[in-house]
Amino acid sequence: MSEAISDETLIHQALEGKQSAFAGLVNRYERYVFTLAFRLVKNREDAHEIAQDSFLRAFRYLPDFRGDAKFSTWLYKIVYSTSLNFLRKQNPYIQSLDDETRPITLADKGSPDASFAMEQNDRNAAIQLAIHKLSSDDAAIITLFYLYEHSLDEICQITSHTMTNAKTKLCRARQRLKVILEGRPEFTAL
Amino acid sequence: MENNFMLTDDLLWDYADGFLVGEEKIKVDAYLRQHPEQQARLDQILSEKRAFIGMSLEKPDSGFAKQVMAAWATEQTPMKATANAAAKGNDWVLWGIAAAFGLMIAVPFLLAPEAVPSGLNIQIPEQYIPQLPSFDWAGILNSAVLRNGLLLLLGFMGLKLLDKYLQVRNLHLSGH
Repeated sequence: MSEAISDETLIHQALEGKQSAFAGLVNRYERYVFTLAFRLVKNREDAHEIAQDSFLRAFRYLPDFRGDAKFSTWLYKIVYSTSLNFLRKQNPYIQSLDDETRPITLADKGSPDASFAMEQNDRNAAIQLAIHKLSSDDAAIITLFYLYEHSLDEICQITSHTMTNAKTKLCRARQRLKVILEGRPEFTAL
Repeated sequence: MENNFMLTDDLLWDYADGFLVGEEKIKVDAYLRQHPEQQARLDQILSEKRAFIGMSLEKPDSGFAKQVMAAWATEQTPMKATANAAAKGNDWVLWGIAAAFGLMIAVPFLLAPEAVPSGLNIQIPEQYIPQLPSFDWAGILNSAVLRNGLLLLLGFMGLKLLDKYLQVRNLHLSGH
């Protein structure tokens, strides 16, 4: 990610109507926005739709962005809520992205996909597959905390969880990831 | 400390994630110094953490950014067109309102009985007088029904144009 032009400058230029500034923000954040959407809805096509919708919503409400939080935090909050709305439309009974009742089962361990990835010694791909098996909320919190290196405080702003809740969810998501990756030599420490 | 202190994986992860502070962190630091095997576990956890941090981002399909910008341009086009139309509409509506109210002021003077010629005393050669059907203009223009009706009509038009102007103005201000 090039930091030649700061987010603040791009936002300022975008608010003045400079189209290249909007394009700059898309180029800078497209992979982050898409990854978070994909982690949440677990389908590339839907993730594309949500990512695009999130950018359009962000641009529409850009004049309301006061800069209290980082732009990325504000943007990911839009992605999170857009994804939640999308999932609710698909299943009106969804109250949250959480999966409290889902037990950690042995069926989650070492699926053929994961085994294949492990055999390829592709730790990265194995983690991606393992995360794909997590619930939307667990996957999002792991992604935001470790991949995007957001603090728990920022994660609370994005997901509207309380601090205690976010920390508990992060711990539980790690445990679930541990179960999925368990037994693999590359991940014995988990 | 050893008897009642349990260094669990979760605690080690909290340590690795930087959640431990103060006395709790000091306690774990001390424990790790005394137990190299736990330090080794911590090193493994830190290695896993680095793997998580180093996860690659998903890549959207090529042309995604262009699609977003095209959608954004499409979304903005009706807004710009509306703004332009509103600006043009404002001119037209303003002129309309001015004309309507101008006529409202002028009509009573125009329709005043003394202003209406009851009999012109101008000598015009007969060949120049066109043979038009004759109307009782004085009677028509002096009619109270026509005069009041015209005033009501102009008033209605003025209010209608004012309403239209306010609608366009509100639309323009709301940015849609």
